[in-house]
Amino acid sequence: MLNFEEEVAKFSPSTEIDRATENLYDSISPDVADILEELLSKSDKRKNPQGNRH
Amino acid sequence: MICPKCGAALTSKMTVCEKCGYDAEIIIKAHKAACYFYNKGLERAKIKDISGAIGFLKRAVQLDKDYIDARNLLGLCYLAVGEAGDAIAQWVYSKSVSEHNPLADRYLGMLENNPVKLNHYKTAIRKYNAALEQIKQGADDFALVQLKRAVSHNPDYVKAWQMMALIYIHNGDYDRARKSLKRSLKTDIANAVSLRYVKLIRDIKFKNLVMDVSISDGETDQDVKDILEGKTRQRLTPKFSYSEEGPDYRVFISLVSGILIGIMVVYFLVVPGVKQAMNYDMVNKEKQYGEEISGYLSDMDSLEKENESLQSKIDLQQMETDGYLEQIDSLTNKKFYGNVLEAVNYYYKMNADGEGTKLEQYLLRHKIEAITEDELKAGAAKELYDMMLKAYPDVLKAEATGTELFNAGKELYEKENWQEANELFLLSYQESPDNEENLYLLGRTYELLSDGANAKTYYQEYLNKFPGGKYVATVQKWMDAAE
Repeated sequence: MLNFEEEVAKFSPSTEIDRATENLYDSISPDVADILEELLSKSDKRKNPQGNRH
Repeated sequence: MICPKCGAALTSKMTVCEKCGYDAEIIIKAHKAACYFYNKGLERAKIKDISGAIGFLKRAVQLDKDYIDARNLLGLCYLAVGEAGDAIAQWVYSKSVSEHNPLADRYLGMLENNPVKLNHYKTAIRKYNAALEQIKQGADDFALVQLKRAVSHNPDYVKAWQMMALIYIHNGDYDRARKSLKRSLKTDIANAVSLRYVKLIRDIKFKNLVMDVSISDGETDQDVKDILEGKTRQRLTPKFSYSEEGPDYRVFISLVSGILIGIMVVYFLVVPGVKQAMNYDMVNKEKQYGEEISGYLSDMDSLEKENESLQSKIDLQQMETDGYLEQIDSLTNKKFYGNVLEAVNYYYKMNADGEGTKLEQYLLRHKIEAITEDELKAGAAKELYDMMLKAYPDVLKAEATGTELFNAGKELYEKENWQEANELFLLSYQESPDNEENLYLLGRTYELLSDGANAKTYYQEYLNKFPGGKYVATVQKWMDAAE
């Protein structure tokens, strides 16, 4: 049977158009390249304090 | 793809970075996987399984966040289900990855250049968010109103339709819930939430049917328990009271009985009333006709009486007329040739055409002057004579020229009125004896009146007076034939 409150909780608010680009880059999750870059930078820091992907 | 170590560009055919030698296999595999998910997402999007496409495309951009094509398509899918804010975010990010991004430019321009459409998207999202707040506070009715407004602004807003369906299901209005879900599935054909709600409605409707489970002879409650727990292979024999709908005789019976009752009501209640009204009407009309008839009868009586009095008057006048006729008869019997009678006849004829003309009075004068004194003594001749003189006091002074008489005579001659024409030609001859044509026509009219003697007399005079005249040959021919 249906649990009304549970179902309602599954609905999330939609992004308002005026706020579409707010915190845009923060909302983008890191991909594999980002993870590898972070790993590399940590490794470089251990080996060499200067390290830059770009 | 770029090398995480040196930032050099990588292609999918490489395994190591050509610039720094970095082992880029993982990155390349990730990109390949992203491509795979992008293709899957594209497949789903083409068949309008938008939620399925979104799922795959999200995984594609998780593996490669700078995958422009996946982001652009993901934005389109978001827009298709009414999530315009998310769509814009995807395109903006996609544009930030690469300046040269015609698709993202086009999609963003599509919204910017159509402010009305953009406003609809904005309003729909605002209404939906407001409805979500209200429903969490327990105000289902207000939330429903907001959701209806949201879908009126954006009919493809899937989440709004789903929430509406949820509220309807909660209120027990399964038909409306089904319609809302049907509408959401029109946009996103395989949306899992919509399909789940549809199945839920179906299950609820099925469970609402009455089911009796009968136990066959010999089975006890323990047997039923064992069967339900699966301890035995014996089966329960359910007896469903729900079955395929067959013909419903009750409807037919109620229809027929309704018709019969209606007929009986009409026969016993309506018809007597109508008959009574008709009788009353008839009685009134009879009374009315009776009054009219008595009126006509009394009119008839009075008319009959009037008729009698008129008849007696007619009789009296008839007697007077008879008296006059006797007198007239006396005149004719005396064979005076009726100069008085002729004058009186001419007098009445003159008056019948209105007041007599100058010429007619002249003719009357001649007729009056023809009456002798002896004739005046007979009967009512004097009275008639006086009557004519009284009507035309100057009749004895009436004058007419020979030409006037001749012209009037010729007119009558052409109408073949020989007698009257003859009279006028005679009078004209007396006034103008040397009128050639008048003399000829005088003889001719005598000829036509079969008065051969007078015809010969005037023809002879014509030949004597006018030996070279116009009608000599004709007259001579008649004279020769008469001899």
